[in-house]
Amino acid sequence: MNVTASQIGNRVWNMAHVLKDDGLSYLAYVEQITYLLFLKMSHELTQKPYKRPVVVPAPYDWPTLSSKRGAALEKHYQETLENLSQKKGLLGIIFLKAKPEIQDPAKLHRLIHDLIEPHTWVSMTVDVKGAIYEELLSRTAKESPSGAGQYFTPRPVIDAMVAAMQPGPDDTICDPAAGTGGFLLSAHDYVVKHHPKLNPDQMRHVKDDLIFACELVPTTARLCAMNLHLHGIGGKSLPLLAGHDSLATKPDRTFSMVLANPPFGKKGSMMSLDDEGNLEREQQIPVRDDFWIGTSNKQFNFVQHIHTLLKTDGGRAGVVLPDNVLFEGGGGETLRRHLLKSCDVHTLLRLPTGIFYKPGVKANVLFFDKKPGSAKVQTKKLWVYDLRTNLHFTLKQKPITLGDFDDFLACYRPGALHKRKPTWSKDNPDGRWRSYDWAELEKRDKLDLDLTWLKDESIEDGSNLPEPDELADEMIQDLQNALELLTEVAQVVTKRPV
Amino acid sequence: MSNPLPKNWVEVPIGEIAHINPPLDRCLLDENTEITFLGMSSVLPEHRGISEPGLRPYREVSKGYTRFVEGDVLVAKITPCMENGKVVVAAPLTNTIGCGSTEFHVFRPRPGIDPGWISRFLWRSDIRHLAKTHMTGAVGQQRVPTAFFEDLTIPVPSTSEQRRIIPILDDTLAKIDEAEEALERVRCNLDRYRASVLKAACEGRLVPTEAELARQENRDYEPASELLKRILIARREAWEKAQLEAYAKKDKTPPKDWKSRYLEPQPPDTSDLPDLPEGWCWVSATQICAQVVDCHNKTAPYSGQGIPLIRTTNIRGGKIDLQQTKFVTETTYNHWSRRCPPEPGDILFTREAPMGEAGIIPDGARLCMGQRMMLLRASEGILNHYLLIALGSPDMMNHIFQNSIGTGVKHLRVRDVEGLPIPLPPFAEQQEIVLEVERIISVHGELERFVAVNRQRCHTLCQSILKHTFSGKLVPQDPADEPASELLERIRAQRRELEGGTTPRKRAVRRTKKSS
Repeated sequence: MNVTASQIGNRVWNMAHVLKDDGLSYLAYVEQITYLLFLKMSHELTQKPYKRPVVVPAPYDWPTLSSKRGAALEKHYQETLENLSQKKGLLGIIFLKAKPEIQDPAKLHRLIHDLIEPHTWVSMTVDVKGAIYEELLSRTAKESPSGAGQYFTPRPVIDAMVAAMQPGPDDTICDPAAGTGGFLLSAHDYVVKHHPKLNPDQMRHVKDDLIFACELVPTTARLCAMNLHLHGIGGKSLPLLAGHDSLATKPDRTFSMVLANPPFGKKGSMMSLDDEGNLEREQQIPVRDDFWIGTSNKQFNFVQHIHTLLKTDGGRAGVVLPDNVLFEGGGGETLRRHLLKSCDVHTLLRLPTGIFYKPGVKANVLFFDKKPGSAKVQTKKLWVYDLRTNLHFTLKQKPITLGDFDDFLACYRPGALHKRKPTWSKDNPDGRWRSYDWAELEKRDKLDLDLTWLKDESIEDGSNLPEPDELADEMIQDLQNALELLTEVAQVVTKRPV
Repeated sequence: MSNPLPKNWVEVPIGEIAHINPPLDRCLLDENTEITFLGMSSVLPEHRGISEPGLRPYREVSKGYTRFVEGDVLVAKITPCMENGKVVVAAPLTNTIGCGSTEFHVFRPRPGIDPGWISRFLWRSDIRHLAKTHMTGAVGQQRVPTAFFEDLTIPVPSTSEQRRIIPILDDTLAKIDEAEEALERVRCNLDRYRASVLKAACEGRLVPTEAELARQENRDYEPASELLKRILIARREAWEKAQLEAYAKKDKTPPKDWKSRYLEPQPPDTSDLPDLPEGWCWVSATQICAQVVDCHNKTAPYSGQGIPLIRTTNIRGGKIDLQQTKFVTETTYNHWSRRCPPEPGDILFTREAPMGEAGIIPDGARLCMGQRMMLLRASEGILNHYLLIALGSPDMMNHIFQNSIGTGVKHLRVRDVEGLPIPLPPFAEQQEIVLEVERIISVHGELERFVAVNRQRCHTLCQSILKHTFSGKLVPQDPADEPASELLERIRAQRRELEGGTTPRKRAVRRTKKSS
């Protein structure tokens, strides 16, 4: 980021702190900034040199909004958001269920005039404004790990996965749990960077059809839309399906690549009553004929959904999944059996702890390629990279970087998977890259893929003990997490009903 | 149930809203059909749900087990499972039928009653306490009879209100669980934190080194190597003095080369040891202790009272715990301690079962050393609290485990303890380290208590939320809801029809008081 960009970024972030004192959460702040920024940019596009057709109807456009003050501003802002939330297309996604949250109209005025108005955002390069927005999202995630943080996959993980998968200009890439759009952005940028010379058809494909996002939660979909938009992706229509539950229905098209980090979180499974008072299953167990098992476990369901999303001949996926998908029995075992049979599940990357915004998460990346139907098991060899044992990161003191994945990417051999060589051997038991044949996997109880072989140096050893301040950092995060959760509980309880 | 309920709720015996242990229907399943099997161990307490349900072919479980259908509520009746709150809604079930332990009552909710409403009522620990007082049966086989549950009254709202309340209740309980898990992680990290602090202390990373400070303040300082020289000289002089006194006592003149009998304490083997910060040096325990004494190698005879006897179990976490000691008589004490009577400030260090625990004898305490431990008395110029820190650090633990012997129980020999390598800083730095560690440890102690208290509070909070729920206070009332009394009437009417005209047994039904 050049100097100007980081100055702007800092000012944007400083205003977030000011408004936090007014009771506005960082996430709500980002939403409000998103509305204002979008209005300003839409206006800029109607001026020279762009002279594009007007998208935002006149009574609600930027010049009208920025001309008001005080109570008139407050009222107008509310009307603007209400009106625009009814629109279709990109406008509709950005303003879906939009509500004004800034209590003090003077501060709203400051945001409009001091922060947004002075700059021409459209002329800023994609790097600049995209980076500012990403930075805003990332700081918001850090500040609220169990809230906004759960929608934000750490960028080094994303970039490493994209570098392994190596998307190209002919791919169609889907993220059915897009969050803030990180995977798709990274994939798009990778294609553009590595394929500078494209013919006009390819360029059009990359601009309009390369990526496709699906995000259930309106707030997050909004951020995703803005993030993509600021990065110059999609024209008038954004390749984003907002407010839609990916798991609810079988998809009607397939893709050559899927990159995703399905939401971590508890499953809900409840009996409930229909209107006649008869028992029925909660919709949380999706009923789909393309699924192998019926379960309320979100991660299992996303694996099944992603399997369907992939093109049968050569569809490839990289998916972030928590440990339980690897070892849970019952439905989990059935799922793994089906997956290993119908796909070549070739790589498992065990991620270290302390990298996700949600504390205590133990996750992995599973890479698999879908194959045409066959009686034979498609997984011949599973390669495992252990980036977890004896490795320790924290969000603030020792954050993970793309460089920490260098060895993994070297071992992965993108584009030349058949040339892989293990670094583990009997003579080198500390090697982190190792393969298991199908015969070995099949013998494991419950087809458990929770594979580890490195000695976990325990606390008695002391040589791998993190520094006191790193541990203190982790404890603070956990205590903050506990505090957030209990505050939410308190709010439920203190709303005294009649 | 002393809290007034919302006015459109009713309070009725469970028997009215659920059929407890209904007779089995004829099962039309093929004998090879796989059905869900729920043993007692598959049902986790309270809201923790079902874990690892089994799957068995019907023919294996058709006899000898309790059978139920999807949506039934399973309630453990036998001790201690009942008290632990093993109550769960049987869902989802493969093929809609399940089998399980005979120690479950099966509650089949009547139409309009969500099974989750019943199960969550029984997650309340106060309800289960009441149930416990009604257990019948032989000792060890105590069970809560069906009749108790049938008569137990439960507050019931309309169907739609049940449906509104349950997800909010579950979400709230899940949040509390997550908070508790976070606290558990904090507890684990507190242990690691303590170890990390001790490690940093003994590696010169906790406080600024004396060397650094001296440089900044432009002054000299005494490095540990010089301190060691002073200590060794003093040690030799003390020995010489004691020898002369002993000869004088026996009225003998010391022989010509008596001084050469002095055994210079051996420095540690530093070949495998890491480098130390500036101004530090490696020393062995014998070099810096005026006394390194093994215990008397015989178990002391206990007495009902007298002088506390410290056994290895009394030394934990860097402290000597005087709460649960045995005792010895004065005579025993004198005999057992004749080599070197323990003094306040001395360190007791265990050699075995378990090794490596150490503690300082508190002021004013007279203690007798038990088996498998040694006494270390720090020389002048060595802070006993610093020595304690060094003995308890993760690096020391590592060293001890690598140098212990024994195939069964690992232990240290006396000479291993004498040769323990201690990283020694200058005296002023020892003082700073001790102060800082004590400060941190006291905060650590506070935090441990805080975490334990709040974890307990999480449990209490769950129960409080449950009570709150069944008082109708969790979710606002919706005036459009039908009154629960109408739901109840429908249920009764349906039962009358099904049971062919026989009126349901008249039970005491407590109507809700009109809230003011």
